[in-house]
Amino acid sequence: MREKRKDVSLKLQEIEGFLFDGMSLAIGGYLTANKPMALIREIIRKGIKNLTIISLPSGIDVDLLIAAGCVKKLMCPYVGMESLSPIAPFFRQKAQRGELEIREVDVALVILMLRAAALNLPYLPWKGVVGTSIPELNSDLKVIQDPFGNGELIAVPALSPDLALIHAAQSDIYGNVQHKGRSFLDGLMARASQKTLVQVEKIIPNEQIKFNFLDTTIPSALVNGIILAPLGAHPLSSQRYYDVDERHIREYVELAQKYQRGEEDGFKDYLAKYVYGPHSLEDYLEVVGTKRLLHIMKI
Amino acid sequence: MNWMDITTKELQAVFISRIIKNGWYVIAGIGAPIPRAGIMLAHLTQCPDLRIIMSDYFVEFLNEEELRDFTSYSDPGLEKNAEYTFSPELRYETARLIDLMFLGGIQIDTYGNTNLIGIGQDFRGLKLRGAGSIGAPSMASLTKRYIIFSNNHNERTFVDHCDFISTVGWHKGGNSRKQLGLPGGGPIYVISPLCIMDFTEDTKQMRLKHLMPGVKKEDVVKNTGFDLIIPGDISLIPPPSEIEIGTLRTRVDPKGLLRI
Repeated sequence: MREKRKDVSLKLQEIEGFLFDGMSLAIGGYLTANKPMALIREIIRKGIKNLTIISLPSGIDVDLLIAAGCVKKLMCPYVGMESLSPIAPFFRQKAQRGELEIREVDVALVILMLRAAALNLPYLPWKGVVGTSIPELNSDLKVIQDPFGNGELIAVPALSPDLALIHAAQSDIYGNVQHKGRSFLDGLMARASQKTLVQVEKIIPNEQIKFNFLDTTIPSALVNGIILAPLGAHPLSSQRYYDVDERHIREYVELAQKYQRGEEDGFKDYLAKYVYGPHSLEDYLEVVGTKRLLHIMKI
Repeated sequence: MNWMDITTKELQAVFISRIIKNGWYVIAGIGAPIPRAGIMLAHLTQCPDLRIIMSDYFVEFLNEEELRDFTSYSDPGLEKNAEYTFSPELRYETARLIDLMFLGGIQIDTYGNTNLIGIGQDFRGLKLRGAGSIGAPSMASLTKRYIIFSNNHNERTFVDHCDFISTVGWHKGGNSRKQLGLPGGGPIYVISPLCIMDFTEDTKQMRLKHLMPGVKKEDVVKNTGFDLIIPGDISLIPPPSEIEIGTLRTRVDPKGLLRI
């Protein structure tokens, strides 16, 4: 009998098999764009703990995971909300209390760790942070001598995350993913990670992928699960679909700051309302409300 | 032109615009409105062939009557003027072409080493955790030159020793940066609300170059936590020309954000 090609599409609630305590997660997107927020909220709801997070510059995505007590170790070159909160509130508080194991990195080091993993190399050499405090503040790094006699280099060890979480525009049910606009480090994260889950705004027929195969940014060979998640990057932006919900970020920052001053109710309500309460994306979007959603979609 | 009418921020932008040469590759950061205004002013006045990188885009603004403000990396307006975009990986593969970038620091020392990591002696119990150094450590070690831009000038920022160093400036002075073998050219100026500073040719210590209008030498010395080199003659920044201030106010900064 003729075998059927595997459909890798999943519901948000069905990702449990990919998750375990103490795992390492690569989070795609960049700063305020294309962050897999629906997946992140699901991980918090599932109560996964002791995560190692690796990502490019981040904001509410990583701060929310920290706030919910899911993060043990962090390799992230920036955690903040730009002008709305230059340093993310829970990142700052837990870092200052020594409750996060921070491996200090910059963008280049994150790229090199993943690239080494994708290439199946033990490490890649780099000159970039020689002379800074970063090698002292990141015990994964080693200072080595250039065998060609050009002084010190940093050996950046390979890191293959257990799972990459990515947000993209569209995919077929087999996991051929297409971004609209930039794809940041998402492709490298998929190439470097053990497994990859991608949440998409839209699932499209395989014929459409084939018709525009040059637009495919991550091939099905690298993708283990596709989750239909329209508006799933909210409150952050999804390129070509919607902008950042600035009012939501501002509300988060204000409630987080109040929480840290002892007024804890507001932030607890926030978590109940937006994270723990809505068990599906539909319920979440209903809580956010049509007006906000139309506003960020510029409709 | 009334000299007194020009704000410090405008003068900083004018100073920056005069450093930039036509044909240069420059990075205009989203979170740095004054350096960005300086770059745009150079672009619109004397550098039509400037290659500007903003966010991850190569942008061109020459025919824009009025530039808008950008506050977020995800600002959809950036794509309107983009000619090319690259992935974060490719940033580092073009870094050696960059003629000028800007960076800041929550601490800056006498050799222009900067700290975006945090303040405190114990890394696991910091008094202030910084947001992180984004791309600055590696980028600034590769680019041909960079400028340190600080939004404040006091003893907490300008310190004798940074608690941590996220970007190497002139390292320990003299030729110590060269000995590290970093390919990039290092910091050329430090710009603060009080003054413009450069570095001495031999020891690479920070040196006062220009005072901002109304600022006294003593103000700078008092607010600097290390012994700043004070030369015999400190010149003023030559006042902006009509073209410079006119272009700045009507096209680069029509909303007057540099006048607040």
